[in-house]
Amino acid sequence: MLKVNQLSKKFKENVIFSQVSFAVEPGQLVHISGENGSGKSTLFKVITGLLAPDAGSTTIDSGDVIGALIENPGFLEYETAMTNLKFLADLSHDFNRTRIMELMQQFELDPNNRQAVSKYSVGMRQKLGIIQAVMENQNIVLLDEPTRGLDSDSVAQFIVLLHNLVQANKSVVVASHDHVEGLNYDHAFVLKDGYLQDE
Amino acid sequence: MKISTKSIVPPWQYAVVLALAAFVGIWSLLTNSEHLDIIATLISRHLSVLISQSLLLVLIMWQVLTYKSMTILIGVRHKSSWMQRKLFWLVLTEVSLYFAVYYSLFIFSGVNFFSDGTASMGSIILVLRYLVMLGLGVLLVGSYRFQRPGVLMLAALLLNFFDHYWLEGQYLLIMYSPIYDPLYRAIHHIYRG
Repeated sequence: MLKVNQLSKKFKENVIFSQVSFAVEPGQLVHISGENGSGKSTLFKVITGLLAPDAGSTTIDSGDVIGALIENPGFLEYETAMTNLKFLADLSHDFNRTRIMELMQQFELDPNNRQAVSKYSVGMRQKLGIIQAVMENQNIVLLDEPTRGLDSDSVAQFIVLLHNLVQANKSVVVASHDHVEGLNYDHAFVLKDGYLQDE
Repeated sequence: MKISTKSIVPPWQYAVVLALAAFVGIWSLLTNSEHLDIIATLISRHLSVLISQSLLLVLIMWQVLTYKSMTILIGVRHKSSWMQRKLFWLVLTEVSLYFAVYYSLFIFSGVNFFSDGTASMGSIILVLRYLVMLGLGVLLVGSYRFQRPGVLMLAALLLNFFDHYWLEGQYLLIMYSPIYDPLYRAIHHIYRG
């Protein structure tokens, strides 16, 4: 379970968000909407520990693992998709070849493709970003603008993936500036003027 | 299907370090065969600083930037410190490898090491050159987190030149032997070597 308690963050005098609180239970799908620059990515960076909050805290249950897609994911540009995913999974000592191949096939990426990631389109890179966020069986998944660059078929595959994650009792938070048709959220918030409000 | 494992440093990159050190070491020996003092051959020459040490710094920077693009994905997995430790080891390994080859080419050429000056000062100069490059390599590892890696790259290259042309050229080499003192050279009509 993810609990965000009174998180605040500012850069110098620029307040990004204040007193943000919410909780995500296992098996829940939560949406945070907000305009570009409203602080969604920064919120995810604070939740994942990439940035320190100015106030507040984030707590997860013992044994919980957070997976995240934040901003445009960067990769080892001259390596293949599979090598990139293996490198990341090996960091957590949790490389599951079968699961990664299933995820790649689900998103119509060829696991045997020898092409370097630098040759990938925006949509293909985005799919890789989504896969790395869930491939190690992370049970809290944060996805920032996950449908950016995806075509309609890929969005449909993404929706199926989210349903599977929720059914597998994982906590999923999607942040986007728009709504993805076909997704039913358990909670929907809007991040506006630095405050998180019920939508 | 065989999935390749991405090692932090592929073996060919070590080969590049070896080639840089071997090239400049052999060049120094061949072009300074009349004056075989280790400091005169390896330290007072400019080529190693201008070319091979600069290229070594660029190689280190490129290796650091390779992983910088993944800082978020690595950070989410709480492996940022681990990654930086790996990069520190990479710098230590490559700089040590470079100087081991560069220095040992002279050492195994079978001549007196310090014919122009004292062994103690000569040793200090050799060790200091190694430590300066090690420090510059560690500075470049800072690019993993620093927002402006270009600034660090420029600083490392300038400090590399500063160490050679100012610290060594103006002070350390003269402390090692008076033949590096311009006045001494003029009085004794030493114009090269």
